[in-house]
Amino acid sequence: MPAIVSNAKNFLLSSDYPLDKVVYLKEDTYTATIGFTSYTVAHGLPFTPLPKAVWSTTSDWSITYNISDGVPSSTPVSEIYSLQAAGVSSDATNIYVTFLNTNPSTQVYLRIWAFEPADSVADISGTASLGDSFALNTDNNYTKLYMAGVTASSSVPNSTAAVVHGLGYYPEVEVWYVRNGYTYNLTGTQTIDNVPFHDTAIVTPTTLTMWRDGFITTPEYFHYRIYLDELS
Amino acid sequence: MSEPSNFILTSDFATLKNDAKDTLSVTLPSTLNIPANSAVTYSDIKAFGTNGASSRVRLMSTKDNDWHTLPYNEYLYNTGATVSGGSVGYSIYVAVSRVSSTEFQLKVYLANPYGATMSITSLSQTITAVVSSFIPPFI
Repeated sequence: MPAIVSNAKNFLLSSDYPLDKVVYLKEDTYTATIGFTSYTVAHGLPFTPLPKAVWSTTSDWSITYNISDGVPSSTPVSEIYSLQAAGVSSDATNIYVTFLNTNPSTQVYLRIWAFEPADSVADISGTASLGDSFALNTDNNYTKLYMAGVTASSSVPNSTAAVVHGLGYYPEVEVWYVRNGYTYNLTGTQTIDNVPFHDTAIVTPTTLTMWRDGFITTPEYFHYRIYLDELS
Repeated sequence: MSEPSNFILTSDFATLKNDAKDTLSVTLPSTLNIPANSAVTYSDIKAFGTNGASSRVRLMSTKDNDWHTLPYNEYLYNTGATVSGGSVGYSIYVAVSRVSSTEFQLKVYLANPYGATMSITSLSQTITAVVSSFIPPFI
């Protein structure tokens, strides 16, 4: 009997849909000096992973920031943030977290994880022992992956790649864009008079549409992960 | 060693846990005059989610009607403001942030970097963020 998608999203986990498998984990500290700097760590994987990260300015993680989030500036006219994690990206060797800091050197704390791309087939070491106490625990509700893939490449600015998920509701989605050998987690975007200007992902109850940058003409494509879990 | 994609479920690899969800929204006025070299902010704050969690966000402005997924921040750049009688563009910066160990915030900034009052008309819109937090394997 095929899985009924609308029921599967209500389960803590379901053997009909794969759990996310985190293939890389790293917790570390970094001194963000003034200006644009990058934390760099070798991932040791036989593919370019899809990175994610959170960070904090305190070791107790009392405020956890996402990537593209940061410490609010006292002068928002000139700058939104005084310290911002501008992006997380990867290449065949490293994972990078980029910071923009207008303060003197600031100690930051990082938690980085990554997924295997959908077009990769590789044997790798497990990560369960690096994470929390239980690999699976029925006290928790786990994110359930519905679709994952890679779009075609294009060098046409503002061109789109669409994936029909057909779920009938707004699903949780993760997107990364790839340019010049680097894979970037999509965490921010811009529009001009409502038209996407930079890389953008737009979701409807049926379709995920990914927009390429509006000005860059180098080839660009996307990795995407669509979950059964509803973002509503 | 194993190939992760060969398994639906495996105890070899850490995974992610769902945490909490909520919706934040901000409504902007129809017209706005921003004094020279200053910024105006609007915000909505709600307490939900576990500290240490990451999040997935869906953002929309009623002037656009497209749900932009994932972005924790957006610049909505628009033409149609005036400074000293001349037409200028302006940006609406939208950010979804955790602002304390218990609270998420949707914050909307409109900044006037010019040396005179910036007047914006036809600004009216509601900006909504649907936020779902999830817990990475470190917690």
